Amino acid sequence: MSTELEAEVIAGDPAAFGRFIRLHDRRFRGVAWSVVRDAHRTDDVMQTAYEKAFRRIGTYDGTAALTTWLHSIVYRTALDNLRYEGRRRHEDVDDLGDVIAIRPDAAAHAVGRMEMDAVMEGLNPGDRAALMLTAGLGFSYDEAAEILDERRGTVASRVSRARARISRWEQS
Amino acid sequence: MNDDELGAFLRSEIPDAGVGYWDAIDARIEAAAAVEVPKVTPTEPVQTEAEVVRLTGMQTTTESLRNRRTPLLAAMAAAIVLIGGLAFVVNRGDDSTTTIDPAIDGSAPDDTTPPITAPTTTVPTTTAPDSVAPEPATPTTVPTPLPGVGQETLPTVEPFTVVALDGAPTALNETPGFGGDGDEVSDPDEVLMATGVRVLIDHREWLQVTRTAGFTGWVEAIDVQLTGDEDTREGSEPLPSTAPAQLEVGRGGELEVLDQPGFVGNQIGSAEIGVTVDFTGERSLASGFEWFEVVVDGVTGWVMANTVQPIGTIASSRECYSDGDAVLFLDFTDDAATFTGALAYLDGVEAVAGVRGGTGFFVATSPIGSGEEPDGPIVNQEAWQAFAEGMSVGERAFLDFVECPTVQTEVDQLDRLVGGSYPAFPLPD
Repeated sequence: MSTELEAEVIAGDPAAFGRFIRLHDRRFRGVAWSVVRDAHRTDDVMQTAYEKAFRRIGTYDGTAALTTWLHSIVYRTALDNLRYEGRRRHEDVDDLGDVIAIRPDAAAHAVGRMEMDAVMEGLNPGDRAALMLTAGLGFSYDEAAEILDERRGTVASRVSRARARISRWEQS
Repeated sequence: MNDDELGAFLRSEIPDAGVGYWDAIDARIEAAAAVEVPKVTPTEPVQTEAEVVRLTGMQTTTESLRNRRTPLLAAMAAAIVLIGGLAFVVNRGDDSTTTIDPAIDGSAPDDTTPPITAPTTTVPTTTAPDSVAPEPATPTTVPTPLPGVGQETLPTVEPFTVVALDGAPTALNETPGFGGDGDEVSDPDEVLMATGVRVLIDHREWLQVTRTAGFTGWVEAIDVQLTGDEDTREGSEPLPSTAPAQLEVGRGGELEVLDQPGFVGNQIGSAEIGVTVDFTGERSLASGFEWFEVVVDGVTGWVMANTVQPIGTIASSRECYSDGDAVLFLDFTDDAATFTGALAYLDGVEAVAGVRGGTGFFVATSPIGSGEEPDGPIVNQEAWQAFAEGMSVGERAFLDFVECPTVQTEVDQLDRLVGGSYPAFPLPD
């Protein structure tokens, strides 16, 4: 059931669209981040995705939830970005290094986080996105499959593979 | 790590938005909202006063350019065509000295909607090429060698300066085109002098540039942006028209038909792969690419030239994928930010495709991966064994390709699955 805000969004009201994306931005950003793994590029992806979604709001047919539709656009835009930009990601590790230098007591936590971050980095983008959608953002496998435009079984495989790698890291 | 902890970790990783994030988004939405209803008839290529042309290949915004760089899917499609032996070469230049390079062309519009305006920078001008009056569109079903495939000399313009897009290192080739890998790499923020000599290779514009150190080479127009003050002018450069022809959409997904050439155009139509379009013979250079005027479902608009092919060339490039064929995917991203792709097939245990450059094969990922059984049937057991027995050091790919008309869709799916980089795959002997 669409909310009144969603109805305004679907009608092409830019102000409503602005309010709508602010409501859900964190979740949308999560998808973009899971793919590109770079804060600045996440911003770039979101800006492009939002504009794209607004321009194409007339194509939204209501068969999926509006948020699902938008998540899907974000995901595809992020993949586009990943393909075209290559991967240049160093700053996050550097940031953690600063944390260790400034707060020695947080070093163990930070190192663990860095390692976990490396595990995440080692996953392929689709697996990360599937994991983020299901484990991080609470989407069902069916919903995630719709967003990723894949079969449910594919999403399940992705999540399973991602979890297996995390488990291997925990046991190492 | 239990589910709650994992979820919390994942959410905690999501970065906060940067400064100006919402301002930028609001501006883009506002601009998009201000767009008029797209026109159904195309606009004529823009010419400035005094019959000057702009180097429109560098007039789009940094972001719009970034979002349109070397789309992988078209590279795959181009590879398919190349594998099939397609080699339409038309050298329209009369002073070209460069060997035609049968390079893989990786350009195509992605599905990112173009920005409303394209801030531009100081624009070098020159006398516009004589515009050839359009001929009546009398399409023929005979595949026609298309201009722009191969090399075409463009009118020389006044020298101007450029910098690499986003300050990213840019490959400088000794020869134009993708045949020569980056012989040198520009430094971030390095100002390059474009001599004004330009060529069009495989529908993409290349600029001759010089460095202060003395190197003279070539850079793809889309990889650089003009230096100088920005303005909001938009434009395209008409190219000599050619014979009308019927062409076939050669890329998967939605092909956007725009109301004017260049990424500043508004979408007025679309077409799926395999759809026949009528090429009117009108061509234009914009946003660093060659554009064709086409008629699709009665709508006249512009498409990137490398998204359409002579009829039958895609299907004939290979009879079909067979069910269960493994698909290898080549992609590389090197320090020069060069990005290209190609498609090869594993026919049994023999890879049947040549690819240029790169650092090696990468195997496409799949829903299965890591040796797990695919959730679709393994039809080609031999191919599976080839992977399983160590030919691949990376993920394994098994795509249940079906009929030819759906191939591109499957490639599209592969494209989405790949997404990033994967361990190198040794090319089978």
